Amino acid sequence: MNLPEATIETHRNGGKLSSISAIMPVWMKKEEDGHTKVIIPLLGLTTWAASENDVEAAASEAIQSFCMAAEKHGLGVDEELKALGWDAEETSPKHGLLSHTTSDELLQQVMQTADQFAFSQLAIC
Amino acid sequence: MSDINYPTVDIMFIKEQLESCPKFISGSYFKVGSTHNFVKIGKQPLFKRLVIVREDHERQVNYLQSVGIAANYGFLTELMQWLEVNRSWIDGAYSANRP
Repeated sequence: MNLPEATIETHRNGGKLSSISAIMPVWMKKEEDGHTKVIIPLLGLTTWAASENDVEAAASEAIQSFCMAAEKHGLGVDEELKALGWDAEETSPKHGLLSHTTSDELLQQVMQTADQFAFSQLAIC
Repeated sequence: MSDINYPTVDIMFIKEQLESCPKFISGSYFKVGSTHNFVKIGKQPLFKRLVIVREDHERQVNYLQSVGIAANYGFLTELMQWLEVNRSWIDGAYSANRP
């Protein structure tokens, strides 16, 4: 049984997504123009940071944006994450837990090259 | 920090261009912190339809991000014109203003 490399916890109030917490691998790459590209493959997102110190903020905002867009213009966070290969461990009206696990050995090794970030209770508006 | 050899682009220019692009759901624009979001029309999963533009602390979008977005959404010519007018910057050219 492989350990998940990423988990997302969703909290809902009256059916509406209120916050999420996540543990997620993030890759960053300083580009030619001095800014840093921030890649979150498990959510299919790419964003930009002004510097390494700005990466966490960039990633947090991108995750919040993904969730808000998923709720408003998609099928909801849980369904949109399934489309990205996430598994729903638990879904209840107030709380959801999803994880992403790779069984492919090569991908597991690639995952080791990321920086693991923990995002705690990101507010969803 | 930005590399002085590359210009930056005002976020408002990028935002205006994307808001007038017909590929996006009208009114889908929203902002989270320094992150500007636009959602494309279509039936694909959301992750393929979400377009993120991130500004820096001076309300600027870095060069590589700007060019990538402009190329994908059909305003590369307008971007290059904007850079020439607003940043005295011509792609591939030497500028008398360079140190």
